[in-house]
Amino acid sequence: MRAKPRGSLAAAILLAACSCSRVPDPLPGVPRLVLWAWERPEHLRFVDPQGAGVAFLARSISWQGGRVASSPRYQPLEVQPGTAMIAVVRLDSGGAPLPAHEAVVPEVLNAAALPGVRAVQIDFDARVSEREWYAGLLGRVRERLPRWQPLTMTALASWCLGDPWIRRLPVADAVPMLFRMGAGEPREVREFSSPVCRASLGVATDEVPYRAPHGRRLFVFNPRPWTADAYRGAIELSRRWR
Amino acid sequence: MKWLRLLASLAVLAVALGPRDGNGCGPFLTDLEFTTYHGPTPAELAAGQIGVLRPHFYREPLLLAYRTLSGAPLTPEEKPGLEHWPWLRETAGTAPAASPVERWLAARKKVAGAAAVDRIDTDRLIPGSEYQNFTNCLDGAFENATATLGRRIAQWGAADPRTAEWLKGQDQVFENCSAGPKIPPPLPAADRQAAADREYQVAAAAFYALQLDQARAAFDKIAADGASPWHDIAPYLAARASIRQGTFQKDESSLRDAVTRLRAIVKDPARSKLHDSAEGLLEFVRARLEPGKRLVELGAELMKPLPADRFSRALTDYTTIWDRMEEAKQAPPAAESDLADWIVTVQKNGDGLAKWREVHSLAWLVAAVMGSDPRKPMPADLAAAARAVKSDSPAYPTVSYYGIRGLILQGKADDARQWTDQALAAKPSDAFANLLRAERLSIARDWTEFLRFAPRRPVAEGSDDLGTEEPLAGARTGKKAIALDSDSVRPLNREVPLKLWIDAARSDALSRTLQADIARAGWVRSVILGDTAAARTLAARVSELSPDLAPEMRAYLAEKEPGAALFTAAFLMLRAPGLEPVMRPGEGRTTPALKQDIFRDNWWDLDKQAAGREPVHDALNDLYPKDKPGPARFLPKEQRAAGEKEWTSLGDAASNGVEWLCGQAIAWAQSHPQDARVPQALHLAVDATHYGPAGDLTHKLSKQAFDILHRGYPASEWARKTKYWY
Repeated sequence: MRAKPRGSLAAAILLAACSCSRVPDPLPGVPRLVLWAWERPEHLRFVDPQGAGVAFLARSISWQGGRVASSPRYQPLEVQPGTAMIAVVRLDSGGAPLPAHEAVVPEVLNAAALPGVRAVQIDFDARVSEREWYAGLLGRVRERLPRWQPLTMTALASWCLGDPWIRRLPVADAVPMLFRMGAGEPREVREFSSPVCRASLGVATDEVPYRAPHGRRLFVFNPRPWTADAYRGAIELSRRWR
Repeated sequence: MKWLRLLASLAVLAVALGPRDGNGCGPFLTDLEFTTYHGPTPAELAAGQIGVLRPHFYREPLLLAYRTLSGAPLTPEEKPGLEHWPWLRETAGTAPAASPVERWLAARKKVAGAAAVDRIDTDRLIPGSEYQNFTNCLDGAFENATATLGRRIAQWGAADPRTAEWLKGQDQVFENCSAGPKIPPPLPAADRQAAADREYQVAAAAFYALQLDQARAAFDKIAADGASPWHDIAPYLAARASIRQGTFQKDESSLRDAVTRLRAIVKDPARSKLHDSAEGLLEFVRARLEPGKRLVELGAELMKPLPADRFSRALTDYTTIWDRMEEAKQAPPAAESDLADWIVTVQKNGDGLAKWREVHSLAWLVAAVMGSDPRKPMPADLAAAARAVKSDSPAYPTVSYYGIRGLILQGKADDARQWTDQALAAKPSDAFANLLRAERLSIARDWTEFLRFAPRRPVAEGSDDLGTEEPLAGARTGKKAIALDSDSVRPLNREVPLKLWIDAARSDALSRTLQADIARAGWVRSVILGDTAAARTLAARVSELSPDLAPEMRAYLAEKEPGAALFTAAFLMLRAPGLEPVMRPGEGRTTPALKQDIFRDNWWDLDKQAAGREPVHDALNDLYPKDKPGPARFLPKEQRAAGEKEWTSLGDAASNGVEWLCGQAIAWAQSHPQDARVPQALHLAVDATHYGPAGDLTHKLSKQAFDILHRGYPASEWARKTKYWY
């Protein structure tokens, strides 16, 4: 938080106005509950398209020695027609040298072009030394995605707690991941200081955070393939987080 | 025709393996493991051991265990066949060699005027699916194309128009790998060689475009043309077209058509070079048509030594078929195969006693011991047989571990100690020794035994979410990697009084690394608890064991006045985010104490420990109530009570490290505003509220420290550096 501004009526009015207005939903048309569907058989016909969206691993991109390997989804994924789909692209770094952006961007765009995909989510645990490269990649992807298609990302919770790096990324939404965190990652969060992290939360069915802001779109990870029971549990979880 | 065998093998593997498992959405951090979860450790396998079997092992190691227990261990020739086992994945390092696709892309550049092609996408959506892909063009296709191009360049020359036309056709073939259809046009028959090549390209393009009827007809036509250089292989590819049709359309008649075609190839002496490949495809089709029978056959084949590639393929096929049957809710053929029966029994932790009594084999002895109720004595005949297993038997680790666990849970601690000590003396593998130590620690009689059996040597690193386990590398190996598990850390943090922390910090039973860890945590603990004598003793020990902290410890020891010493300690802790008053299981914090951790693993939050949310090594759940590991009676009552009281006091005084440190900095700033260290301490305190764990008061304390700093020391460099509170 910045040091308190001194005696500015205009700022106070502005602040009040901001607090009353609704922030536009960064993922319009996507339900408030989104199931993450990983690279395993996911038969999600029991998911009500009005009740939940599906963020599915659509492509995995990795690099080693500067060479890029890109794989599409190999596992079955079944959803009901009309389900809001988010294509997740996972990046795995083999370290330096980092690949040219142009070797990665088309792969992301391939995923974005899959049927019914309303948004793209990049999942990359960028090291500090990779942040500049990652920011550049996001910029290039954003430039080439259709304007109607939001670009989102997953984020370490600590990135969302005042790390200035995340504030300048060209993403509509960053989903703080409140599960499977490093030992020092905050497990109790009242609010994320980065505005881009304030629309969504990432939790797991088996690891619910002690405390986290409510009223967010909930992305839910299930450590095993989704079942109707697990889906019901996710719905319950999302109700609790309203 | 080596490439042909390779092609067939890859085709079978690619289709048989089916969709691949993987994960997204990290971070997936790896943890140190004291025993592996999915199979024996690499070191055990290399030594021909199977370790302590667990019901959650993958089926591959269980199959191997059954074979080893049946007297046929893995041979040196077979070991390379295991290199792709999930928990033996190659670790990242050198860049992989060029792939067949990359070699093809390089080779085609030799042709004069070749169009620019930078990449080829080998995957295509499965027909009828919107999101699921398969690898359409396998490595063998690119190897074949590279070899053929080499021959045509040798024959015609790189600048010859025929070579350019061949390449153009081949580029179109590969366009179908991910898109299409793109079928090259036929060529005039004037040049017989070029025309025959093109016919083959047309058939291949149709195959990759999944125009399978057309592809099969085209391959049949080539097969009938004795003059075509592709005459020999064409029937085999026609059979592959039928297999694809049968697989994608779930059409049994196409699969049976493939069987007829492949059998004809196998019977044709003129096509002997294709026999191996055709037999491989026959196996694949049979796995689809008669999975249970094929599983029984593969199980029998795998019971005897095989060449590495055959072993690897049969093992993969075996588990893939089983997985498919499981997915289709088909029962494995337990009645027809002793191996399948045994795997089912072990995985379900089922009752193998009756079967053991019937067959008296070592494998079934192991299954019977694993499945026996640990809270009841084993039947006398089973107990005697288990105890009679010699230490050099592959069954010894498993029967000993489960046998000892039973004795412990039945309250026969003396018998358990005797068996454990005997097993520990028999040079167990590290993973087995860790389990034995866990058992022995659970019945530790005193503090000395507690320290003796607490240390464990890591054996692998793994990620639960990825389901992977990999060999240890770098700093995670060697003596310095020896660590504590939660069965010693939990009691140490909650029940052991400071007096014994001092003892542990000098105990020869622990490595110097562990002594140093305990000295540091004990010092922080004693400072918070206000036990000055203990704090001074431990500070001296820290300066001996942790050179990076030695100057700071000397400064602390130089302070004679208790209040000043407390602030000096807090000032150091503010600069050392790695200091905390507790021990951690496993690897702990890997960033040096004086450095901030990039994942914000800084200072401490005891509420997390109090809530019992520290990770507990799975095997310890065999011995303790869930998530509450630690021996019950190794300390006299009064010592334990003192330790518990200290733990409570610690939580009351400094549950949240950042808040406690902020409080110390603010209090000292208010009472000693002239101390030159104050501005820096306040800056560090505000910084800690950003990079450390947050509590209910963190925000308030952050602002308070910020205000004192800016009001009291506005011109200091520390005020300038402190632009925000958190």
